[in-house]
Amino acid sequence: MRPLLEVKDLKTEFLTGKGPVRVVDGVDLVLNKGETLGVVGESGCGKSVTSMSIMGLLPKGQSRIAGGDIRFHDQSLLSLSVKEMRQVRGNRIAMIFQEPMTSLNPVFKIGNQISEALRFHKNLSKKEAWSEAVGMLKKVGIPRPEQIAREYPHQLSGGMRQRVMISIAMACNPEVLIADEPTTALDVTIQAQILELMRGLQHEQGTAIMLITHDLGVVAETCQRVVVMYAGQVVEEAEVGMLFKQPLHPYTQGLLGSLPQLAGQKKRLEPIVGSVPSPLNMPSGCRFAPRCKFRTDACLEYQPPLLEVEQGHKCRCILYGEGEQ
Amino acid sequence: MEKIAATALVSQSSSEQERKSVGIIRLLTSNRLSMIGLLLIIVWIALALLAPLLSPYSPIEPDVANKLTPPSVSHWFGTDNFGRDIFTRIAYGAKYTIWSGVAAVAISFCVGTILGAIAGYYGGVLGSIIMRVMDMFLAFPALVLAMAIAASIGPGLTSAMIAVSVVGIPEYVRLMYGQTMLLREKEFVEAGRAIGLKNSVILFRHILPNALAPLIVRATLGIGFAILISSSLNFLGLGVKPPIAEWGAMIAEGRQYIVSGEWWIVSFPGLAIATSILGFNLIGDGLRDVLDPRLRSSSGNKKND
Repeated sequence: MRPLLEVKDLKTEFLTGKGPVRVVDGVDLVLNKGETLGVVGESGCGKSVTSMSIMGLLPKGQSRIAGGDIRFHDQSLLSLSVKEMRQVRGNRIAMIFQEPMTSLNPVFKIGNQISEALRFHKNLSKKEAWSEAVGMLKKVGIPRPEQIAREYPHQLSGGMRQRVMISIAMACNPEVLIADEPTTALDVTIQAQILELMRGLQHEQGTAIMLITHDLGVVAETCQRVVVMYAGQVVEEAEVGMLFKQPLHPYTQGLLGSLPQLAGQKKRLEPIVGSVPSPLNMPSGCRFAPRCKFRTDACLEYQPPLLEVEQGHKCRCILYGEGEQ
Repeated sequence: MEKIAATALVSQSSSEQERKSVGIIRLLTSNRLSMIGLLLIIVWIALALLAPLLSPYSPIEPDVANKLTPPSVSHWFGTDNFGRDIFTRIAYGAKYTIWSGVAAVAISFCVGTILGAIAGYYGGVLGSIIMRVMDMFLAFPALVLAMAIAASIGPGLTSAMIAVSVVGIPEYVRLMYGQTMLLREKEFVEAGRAIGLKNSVILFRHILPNALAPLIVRATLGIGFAILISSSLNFLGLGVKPPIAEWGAMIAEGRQYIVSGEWWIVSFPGLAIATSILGFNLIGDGLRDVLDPRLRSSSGNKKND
């Protein structure tokens, strides 16, 4: 089966006073129809920049895509004109943002904000769009949708607003939904509801979801496949069960090790020492090497490629590379 | 049963909204100073509209027999050197003054807001050009610039109005520029882009309404300033031509009689200018207090999920 969305060797750069800085360096992603792909990594590892690159929302003049391709239905999104891209955005590829508190326009009624996308993409009349918007609110589990549609964002709680954001994103029935940390700003109990809601809508409409998060619990709960990113690169990719059972990359192991466990023996959490290297000053060898427990001298010089270690499990580490070389 | 419940909900939510807008009005009316300002403006507008009914005299026709009479029962504010009733002339003149103030501000508001929004949103070379031109405007004292513009177009009420509005533009450009710069980084703007909206739609439907509150306050305060500048232009002879009754022009005509003791010719038009400016400024101050959320406690009732 051909993938729905394919990111090939994406290289995104920010233009600074000191010249271009590469924040995403050769990322490959594949998203199939109806699946949920988790993209995990620390802050600043390039996961949000990757999603902005896909949406074509990078600030012009401050950033550029220096290489690679983004293909949607085997058509390059990078070659589309601004106008064509607008037709894709929100209509076929939609996005949910991290901050539901500020992602809604404070001066418009909820119903108008949902209607907006529908009127623009589906050419509905004001009335049709409004009733569709009310229907969407109902779908995302908002009680009294007719009334809520007439209210303003400040009258809703965070969880309600994120539901509204989801209803805006899903209004045009997109094929791909990019969710950039959709639950980070919410209470844990609301998180579960929101994830459940997204799963339900996915089941109903067959949407493929790219879930960007740093929460491994959320990944275990919702995703089929996971991509772990570090310093602008993919370091490991696997089925979700495989990744949690047998993480290969030392970084992934570190991420799992720094996760509190309820079951089993109590032991100290193991943080990963150090922090993500600055994109201005990347290590010449493996990018994780300065923080890695298993570092060898070779790691500091040699940058390992992303290799398929076993069926469906890729890893970028010198420890697993020797067999194939 | 369900229907009844639904209509009850509808009426409840619309009454909630009414309560909100009523809240702003109540806050404004509770401010005594801004109510005085509103009263002053209402009086001036009423005088402008009702001038022909209020006074038996003509504002233009000379009446040489009664020239330079001090205030009395038949001529409340006295008469000028042509024997024209000052009160009548002031009432007729209110039309020009208020109209030129409001119209000039409306023009500078519209032009300034659009230019500022474009400069703030698109930035780049276009934004820099707009902002630097505005800086050039601001480099001149307002009155000097207005005089230069009015003189170069040629004296007349319209040219005075154009001059006043051009002088006012930079204020609104800078204000809107700052607001737009601030708002364009907001998440809801990005969210708008993510649903595929055009830049123009984002700018004028999403950013503009959020930026309006301080601009409206500025505009209300700006009317007073516009009245002052336009009266000054008329005083200098760059506005209306005699014998039209305009406050600034009336002061100019009565200027030479101050020394000979006929104080009423300049004093009453001067008071008229002062009170109308005071009125708009008081309303503007009141509006600023009401629209500034930091001075109000949030009344949004949050709902639990």
